[in-house]
Amino acid sequence: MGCCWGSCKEDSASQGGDTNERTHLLVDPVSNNTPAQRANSDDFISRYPNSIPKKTDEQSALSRILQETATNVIDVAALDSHNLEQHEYKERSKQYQQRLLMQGSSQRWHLSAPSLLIDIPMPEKVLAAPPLSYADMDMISLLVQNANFALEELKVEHREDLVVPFRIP
Amino acid sequence: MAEDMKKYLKQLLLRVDNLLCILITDRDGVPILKAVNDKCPELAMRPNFLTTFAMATDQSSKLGQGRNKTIICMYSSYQVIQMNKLPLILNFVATADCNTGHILSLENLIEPLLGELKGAVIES
Amino acid sequence: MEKSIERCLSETCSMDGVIGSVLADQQGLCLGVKGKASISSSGVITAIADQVAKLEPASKNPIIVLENDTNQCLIQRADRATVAIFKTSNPVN
Repeated sequence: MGCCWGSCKEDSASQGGDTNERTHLLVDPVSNNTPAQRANSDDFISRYPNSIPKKTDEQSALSRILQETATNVIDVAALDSHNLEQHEYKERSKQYQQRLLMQGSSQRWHLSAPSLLIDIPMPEKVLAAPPLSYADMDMISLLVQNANFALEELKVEHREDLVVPFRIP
Repeated sequence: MAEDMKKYLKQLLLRVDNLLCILITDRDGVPILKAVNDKCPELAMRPNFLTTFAMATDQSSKLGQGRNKTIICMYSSYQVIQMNKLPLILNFVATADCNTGHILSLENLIEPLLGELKGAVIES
Repeated sequence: MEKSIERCLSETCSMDGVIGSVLADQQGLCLGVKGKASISSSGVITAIADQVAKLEPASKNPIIVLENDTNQCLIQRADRATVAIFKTSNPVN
């Protein structure tokens, strides 16, 4: 039982705070009481030496395992299961447009001026600045050439098989 | 207000050469805000195409590499970039030779917009 | 396999005045960064190189210099790669 959790632990930790479609709306009473209980069943028993877990606890623990496994299985078959009806789609689209219109906002949406060209004081100073030195030109040209050459040489080294057969007896 | 946002998105669209559309949808592919170039293929904006991303991002988040953020699909003539901003999805359609890195850098500029659009979706 | 690319970048970064360098591919995706440079700049760098190349379609691969009072950014494009070098400005002679 314990090993069921291993691979998914980090993942759920990294998703920690954000609410998404996989966050459970109803908090599981068992896991709520013992947040660290995701370890294994032995821990579970040793933490409550006096009381054998009740039947309902066991049931919900089992269903939790089932649910967790279901969320961790990569389910390709589910990919084309869900589609919106045409009218539903139109309705919702209209709804969003209305809400956007109603929504007030404090922020003004604009990008900074598209032009970089602005007046500067003393343009002659900038215009009289020395051009790019030959050393710098050589430096970047050399780097570009080398990088371009290195990219042409770039090959993927094949080390392992792409398809690995699972050892199913 | 909504007009302002639309204009903002349109300006972003024009910033990148060969970027054909920026589409902000909910996870069912229903558009909330969009900026479209008339060269954009209609097929790429259909909801059943867009919803596939919502599924794919959910499933690929299970590969043990953390939550999936962006999926880039390269086709022979187009590229589609989709970003997971659930409850919103950010979709970009561009020609295959378009500057992918430049499109990705638009993310930062669109991010502030999303906060406001989320309000429109969450209430549902 | 990517060693030669990394070597190019670190050799450049060890040069005088160079703060950082970025290498991007044609799609503006970052292939490597060394020193003080941002990964996310690769897209914009490639876009700049592409736009500037359009100014003079007959001559190939212009070198672009963006500069402020203290620093310079050099950009150049080749067939497969675009490179940017960030460096301090040369003192005025």
